[in-house]
Amino acid sequence: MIDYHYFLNYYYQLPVVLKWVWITIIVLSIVVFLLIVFLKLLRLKLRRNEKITSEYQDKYEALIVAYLYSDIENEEATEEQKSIIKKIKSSIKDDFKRDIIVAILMRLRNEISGEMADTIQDLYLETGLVNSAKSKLKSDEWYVVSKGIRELTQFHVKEIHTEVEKLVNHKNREVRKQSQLYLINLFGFEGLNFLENLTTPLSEWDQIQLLEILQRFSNQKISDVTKWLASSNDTVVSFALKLVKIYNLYGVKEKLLILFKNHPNKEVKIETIQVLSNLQIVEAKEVIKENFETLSKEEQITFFKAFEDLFDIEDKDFLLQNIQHKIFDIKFISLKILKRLDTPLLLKLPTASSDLEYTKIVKFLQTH
Amino acid sequence: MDPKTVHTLILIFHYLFLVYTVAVITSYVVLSIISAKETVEYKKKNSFVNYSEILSSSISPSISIIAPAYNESLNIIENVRSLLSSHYVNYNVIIVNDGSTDNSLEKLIEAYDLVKIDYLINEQIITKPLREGIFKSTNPAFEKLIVVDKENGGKADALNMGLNISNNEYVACIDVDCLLLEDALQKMIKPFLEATSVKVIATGGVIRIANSCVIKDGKLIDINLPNSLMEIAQILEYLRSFLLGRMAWSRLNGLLVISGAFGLFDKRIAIDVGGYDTTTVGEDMEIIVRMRRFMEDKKEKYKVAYIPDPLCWTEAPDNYKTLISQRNRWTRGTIETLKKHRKIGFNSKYRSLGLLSYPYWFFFERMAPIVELAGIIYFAILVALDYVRWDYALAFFVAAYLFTLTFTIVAIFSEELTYHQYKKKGTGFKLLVTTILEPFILHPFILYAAIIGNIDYYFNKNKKWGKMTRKGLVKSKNYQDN
Repeated sequence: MIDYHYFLNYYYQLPVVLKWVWITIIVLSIVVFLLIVFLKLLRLKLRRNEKITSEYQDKYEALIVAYLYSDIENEEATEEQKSIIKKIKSSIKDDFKRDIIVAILMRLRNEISGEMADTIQDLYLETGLVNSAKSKLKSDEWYVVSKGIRELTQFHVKEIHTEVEKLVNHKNREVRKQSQLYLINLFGFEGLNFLENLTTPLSEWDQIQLLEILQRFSNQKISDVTKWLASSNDTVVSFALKLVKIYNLYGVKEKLLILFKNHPNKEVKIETIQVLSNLQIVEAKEVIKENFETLSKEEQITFFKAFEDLFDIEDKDFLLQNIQHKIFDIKFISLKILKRLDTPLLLKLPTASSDLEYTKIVKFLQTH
Repeated sequence: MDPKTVHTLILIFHYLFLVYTVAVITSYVVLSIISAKETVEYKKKNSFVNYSEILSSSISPSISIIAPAYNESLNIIENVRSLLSSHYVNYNVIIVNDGSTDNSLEKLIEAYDLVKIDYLINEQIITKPLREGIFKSTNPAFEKLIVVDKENGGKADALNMGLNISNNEYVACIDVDCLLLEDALQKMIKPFLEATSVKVIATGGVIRIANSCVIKDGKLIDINLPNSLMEIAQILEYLRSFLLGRMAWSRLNGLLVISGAFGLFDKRIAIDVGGYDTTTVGEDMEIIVRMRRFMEDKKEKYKVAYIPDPLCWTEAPDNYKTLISQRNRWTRGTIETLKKHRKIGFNSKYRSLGLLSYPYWFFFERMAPIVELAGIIYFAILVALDYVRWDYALAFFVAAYLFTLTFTIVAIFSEELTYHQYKKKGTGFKLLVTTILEPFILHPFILYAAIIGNIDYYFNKNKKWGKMTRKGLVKSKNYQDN
């Protein structure tokens, strides 16, 4: 039999530090034991969940497909459809099953178009799934709210738009993003009106997503972007510039020139230069040339790169002024354009210079 | 010295060890808690992300993958094919053949229909000169590929050549033998594009060990645990480091290292700081510290981001000799970087970089092997003098061992709850067995390598990179068996 008194006596005579070490050992032993047990259970649960999820997926997918193919011509729900709705309604009380059903409906909604897609939509509404998605918007958890908006977006639930619109400036970035995606997915270019009230930044990532969605719409009639170009939110201006570039909005030429001259943000100015070149606004070249010395290094490089194809023989003097510019890219592009415009002139240029980069470029262009 | 003073000094020495140990353990616990919170948050956020939109977008930013290669002819063709199979749209691949003495270049020319092109390099960073020149493919299928053949100058020099050649906004610096998942670039670029109030200067990804995994046509087909305990122990070590350590440092914006195997950088800043340092063997850590220092000096808000997704798979050493050589180099790299940037340490001007990251790395990474060795020597002296209270010593050993077990099992837990990569039956048991054995089969060798690294740093200055013999991932045994 174990003599516990021996251990207790041993423990009591230990220094304080050692007492703590033994307490730590006992605590850690229990923790390690529990972690090993939980790890085993976790792995079992994960494996079982994968299996159950797969089984439920098959089961509900079969049910939904049966619903879709059950007398699609008839406007009234058939008995089979009613029975399927009943089964789904009872299943969605369980969150785990609900998530599986919603995921299947979302996937099918994305894969199928036409009447079938409308039928999926009807099923979503009939089963009451829409109500739980709407109720998620009132949650305090950003994750729940975002999930709710995403679901409503996927199932094109438009009637909730006033509530969603209020979330475009939400303190959580994901909620903001989902609400913006909702508005664009469901209302196309009209949905962009949220930009007028946007006080929070619209990241490059968000902008790319919104632009990609906009390009899917068959109706490419874009609303007036001038108010966004004048926004106090620089990211809105940047987004508007991308719209101008993608949709070739020549009408805002004057606004672009004002933006180039007056906007304090360097990034916005750089983007403006790129858009001006993209729209091939030749008069912009003269304006930028006039202001060239006042531009930042990045703006100067952008100008040369963007306007490379728009330079003509009239610009020869300007180019010659820059063949020994301190920035390599500017030197190289100036000399490259000169070669295109007036090869004999380039060949006559002196190869010896204290500027070694210049020498290297001239020699390269003269021989290649 | 009178015996009482000696006794007091010994007591102080004991308590210093105790304080150090408690500080290490506390830091690990704190980092684990922060990591767990951050990983959960990341997983939640990521569940909303649709990466397909960035893929097809014409305005997605341009990326260059720079992969230095030295005598990699065994697998170079397959490795390049893997790099060319990314799903990202706007990218190119720059292979820098760093003076290989094998037939890497000839193999590349033949396999990818390469021809020499005229290319004027903007030599913003000084590198070793070109050897055969720059090549591009005549086959449109490989239009994204650029091969640069230059004189040997080491990995950092080859990466610098890639930085000079690249015309893109971002550069992904990777080891040529790494297997990059197809969606790796869009995941890595996301932090750069999402940031609005700070400038993201670099993003690091998780490196996973691919030994024994099945890889076909540059794609990861099946994830397996290796048979060797030493290789599994390295998997555990990587899980601890990447899932529990770096995630927390990223949250604290104190990440000092991005693995040289895979990292994405803002090219402009990488060039502005002068590119990779060719005089250190820890160039991956050094460039991050220098970029951070540069941003701190400019007083610009910045971040070094981190992605916990398993995006890059690499071959880990499968024998102790290679392992020791690798860890020896890591140790020297850490010492060199911390020494070079000692101005940052404990300097309030550098805020959390100077007051948190640097001291942590100095005390708990750079000094750890020295403290441990000092402890072992001191213990040996006590044993020799018969001054050891064995019951006390045993209690400390058991406590330290149990803490190691706890920490490793928490790392496995974290992996299971997030990415659950090791799904097969029996792998959980294998991981647990290795967890129990790791302090005996891996740690002593890592300690040895770190001590040798310190000795080499101070007494063998000529020592550079060790040799890592690649067996190659593409023809893994399992795949051949299958």
